[in-house]
Amino acid sequence: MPYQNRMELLQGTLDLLILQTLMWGARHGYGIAQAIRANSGELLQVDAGSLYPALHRLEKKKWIGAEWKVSENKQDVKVYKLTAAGRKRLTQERTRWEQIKDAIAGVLNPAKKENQP
Amino acid sequence: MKHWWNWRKRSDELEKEIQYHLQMAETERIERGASQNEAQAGARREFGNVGLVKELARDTWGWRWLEQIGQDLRHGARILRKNPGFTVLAVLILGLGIGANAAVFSVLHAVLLRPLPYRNPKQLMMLWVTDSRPHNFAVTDGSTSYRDFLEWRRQTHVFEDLAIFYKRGWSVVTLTGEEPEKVQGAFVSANFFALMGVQPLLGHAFTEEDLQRRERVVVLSHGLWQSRFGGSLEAVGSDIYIYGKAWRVVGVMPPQFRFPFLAGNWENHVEGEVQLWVPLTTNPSDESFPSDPSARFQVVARLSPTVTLRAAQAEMDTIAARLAVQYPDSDKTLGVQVRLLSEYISGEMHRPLMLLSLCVLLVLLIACANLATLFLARGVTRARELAVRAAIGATRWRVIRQLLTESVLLAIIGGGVGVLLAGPAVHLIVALSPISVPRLDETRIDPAVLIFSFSVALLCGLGFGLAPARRFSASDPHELLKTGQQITASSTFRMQGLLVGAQFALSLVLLASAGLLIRSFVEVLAIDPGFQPDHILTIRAQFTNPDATPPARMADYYQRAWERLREIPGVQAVGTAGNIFFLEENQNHALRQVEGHPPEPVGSWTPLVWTQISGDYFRALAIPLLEGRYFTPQDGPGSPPVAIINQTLAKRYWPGEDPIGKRLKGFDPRGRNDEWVTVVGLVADMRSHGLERAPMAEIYEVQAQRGEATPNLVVRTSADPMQLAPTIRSILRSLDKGVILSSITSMQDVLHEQTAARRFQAWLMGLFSALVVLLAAVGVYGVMHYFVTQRIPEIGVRMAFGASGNDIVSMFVRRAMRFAGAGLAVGLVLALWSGSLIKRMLFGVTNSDPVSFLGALWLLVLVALFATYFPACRASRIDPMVALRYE
Repeated sequence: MPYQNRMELLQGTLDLLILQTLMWGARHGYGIAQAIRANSGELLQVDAGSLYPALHRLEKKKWIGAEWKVSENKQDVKVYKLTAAGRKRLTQERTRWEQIKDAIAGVLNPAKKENQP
Repeated sequence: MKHWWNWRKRSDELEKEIQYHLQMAETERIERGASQNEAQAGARREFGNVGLVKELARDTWGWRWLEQIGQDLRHGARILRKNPGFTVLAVLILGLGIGANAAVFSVLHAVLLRPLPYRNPKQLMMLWVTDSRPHNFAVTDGSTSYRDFLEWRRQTHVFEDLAIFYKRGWSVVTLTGEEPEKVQGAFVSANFFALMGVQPLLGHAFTEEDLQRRERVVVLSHGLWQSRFGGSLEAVGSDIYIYGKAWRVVGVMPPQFRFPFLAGNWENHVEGEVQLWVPLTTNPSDESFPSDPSARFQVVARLSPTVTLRAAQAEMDTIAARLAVQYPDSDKTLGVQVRLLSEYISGEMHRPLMLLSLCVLLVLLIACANLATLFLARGVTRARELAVRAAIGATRWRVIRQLLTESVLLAIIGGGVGVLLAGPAVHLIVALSPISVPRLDETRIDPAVLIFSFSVALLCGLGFGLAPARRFSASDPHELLKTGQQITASSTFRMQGLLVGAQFALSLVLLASAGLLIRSFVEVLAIDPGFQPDHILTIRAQFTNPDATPPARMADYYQRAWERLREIPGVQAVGTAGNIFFLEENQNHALRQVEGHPPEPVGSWTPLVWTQISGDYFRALAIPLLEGRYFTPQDGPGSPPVAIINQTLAKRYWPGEDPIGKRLKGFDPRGRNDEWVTVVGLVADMRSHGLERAPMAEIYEVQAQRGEATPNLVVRTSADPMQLAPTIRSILRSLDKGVILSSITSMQDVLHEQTAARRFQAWLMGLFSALVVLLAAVGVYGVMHYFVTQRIPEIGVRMAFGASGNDIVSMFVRRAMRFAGAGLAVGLVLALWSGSLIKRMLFGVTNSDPVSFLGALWLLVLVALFATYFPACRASRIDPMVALRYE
């Protein structure tokens, strides 16, 4: 994968992406990385050094749960899924993201600023 | 451990997770057409540093600190190994401090803190009778009559139950075919064991039927069971002989059951612990017991769980008032005090143990101040290392934690050494302890002591580690790196100076107190006891049942003993006495009547004793006869009663007069001694009331006239008295088989025992002082050594400008003495205050005794001078050229 195609993730958005990805069903770590890449049109590349610490952190906060399953080729696979608390958190994170997005847009287009309530 | 397992499991899981990730990435690449090798390499590349990812993931688990502590510990251990001198010194200082504290704590724990070995011991109370009459008539041992006990038991509602115990020092146990042995026994009511809540190990405790039937049954202590029956199960049901009568053993108590702990000072001898219990109704020498109104009992009671001590006291007050009305003759002046049993057993030990604890705490504080100065001094030389660590990214907190880990590591090693030292120290304290302290013999280094020691060690570690850590956090690593060590040096020196000052202050307190106590001991040793204690053998010869032995048999025995013993070659004089010493706090008495003398008002009474003697008692002790005559064989039961008095008594009644021929009557509330006794002799005073008390008034009577037992024999010999002991013993035994011999010692040893408490105190304080002086020296030396090292460039400059070696020495000595001097000034104030605290323990010196205070002061000044002198001399010998290039 060519380096220049990758985009740096904004601080704090990885949690949001993971939670959102798990909305569509339980996945293992590699699956989550792949889903994020696919859904971002190959633009967002989550590297393992960020992914696994994030997963473990979210697990510790009980926003996602983990369980061990056996794959087709008889391997133990750790699969993450969203918890109820995680769902709530996802809503909050989404709201926060919307706010950030609007705020940044406001800064980038100052002309519109006066029209904002 | 559990943590570690968890951590291992999660690490394994993480490994699997990552392996799976890599495998999936690889498989996908192969599906897209890559070769096996390309796929593997690509997957790895995309993943990045596997180790780093793992570490980052592990960080989120929150156990990072554990790993860091491991790192800190390893680093700390490395540093300690690198400076073996410093490490050994620090561990020793702390080990001594902690060891002393652990030893004293284990004594404190065994004697005071541990719950008593009974069920719910906090509910157990003593019902202690108080008496408002003057001493002469008063009940002073808290005992009560059987009638009052039954009344209490009937009338109270605040206690679950009340039981009697009554210890006696006369009990004698023999097993057929064995040597008679003196054993302490106690009469107890049938409910006693149930009330204490302890089941016998074997057999059963007493029942009401045992008491009703007045059967001779006995419960043995574990110790007696072991020594007399070898722990045999057949003991229960077999017989032991008390006063020649068979008593059936019905039960054996478990080893931890001991009560009462010490059978008091019976005739000035601590007789040891109660070894057997018999029912209250079986006194072999008194059939009317226990209802005999003169029999007195101690009462122990169990408080109902919901009742407070105050409520119990209130009810007992009401009952006592009611009894005072009901039985005005006996109970009018009596009250009842509800006391905790634990206070009754070990209340007296509270104060001395607290003082001892205070002393060792002082030693520990001094040790900690000392270690803090050493750590500070070393911190200065390590400033650079720390600055480098800070500069390459260690957070300040991380460096401080590193320093604390080091000091705590050291403290824990010191704690371990302390615990090792505490073992022998405890043995020493228990072995040398001058008085019988309940439960002292049960002192152990048990888990409680370990927890205490390591907690104290940990606290110390944090304490003396904090000073250098604070020092570091207050300094700026950039400055440190740029300018080197001088920046921290001067402020560090100030802090060290304060610590050294504090150490000197505390040391002076301890040293001055030690001086006062040791001087008191020396004063006591210098006392003239009023007789010549060298070359005297003492021996106790007791009839197995003195109450039931005819006076004639006793008189005959003493007469024959006198005749036979004085014929032994090397024996100069032989005598006997009812008592030689009266070491208990003696009460004030007066005489019933003194010829030509008005009755004395109660307020002017002083201690007074009557004692019976036989043979050449005064000659044996070498107490000079001042006037009149000694007793003669003509002073017998048929002749007029005579007495010999001492100077104190003569001065009390006939000051400036000749007492010979004067007549007096004894003062006995039961109406005995109601005949005139004529004074025939006057002897010099002896300190029979204890060496530290003034002699008291004494009246000597002759045994042949009074007929009571005089079990204490004194034999004056021309050579070493103990050499004659076997001969004397065999003669005494052959005279009467019913006599038990004990306490065969020299009079020197008896006096030695009387000063044992002071000797122990002096010895202990001396030891603490030596320790403290050593610590003070090490502290000053350590500080000055490092200080000189810091100042080498400055010394170079000064010498380059013409300062002589002497100037340099005096400069350093002056600086050191400033701190030591300030500390000593503060210490002097504290020491004067602590001197007034121990005022009651002093003898022959005032609590501001200049010798003790100035001596301690000078000793510490000398220590400070010496400890400064050597580092200062090293400074003065520095070559200025080398010094200037030092940086």
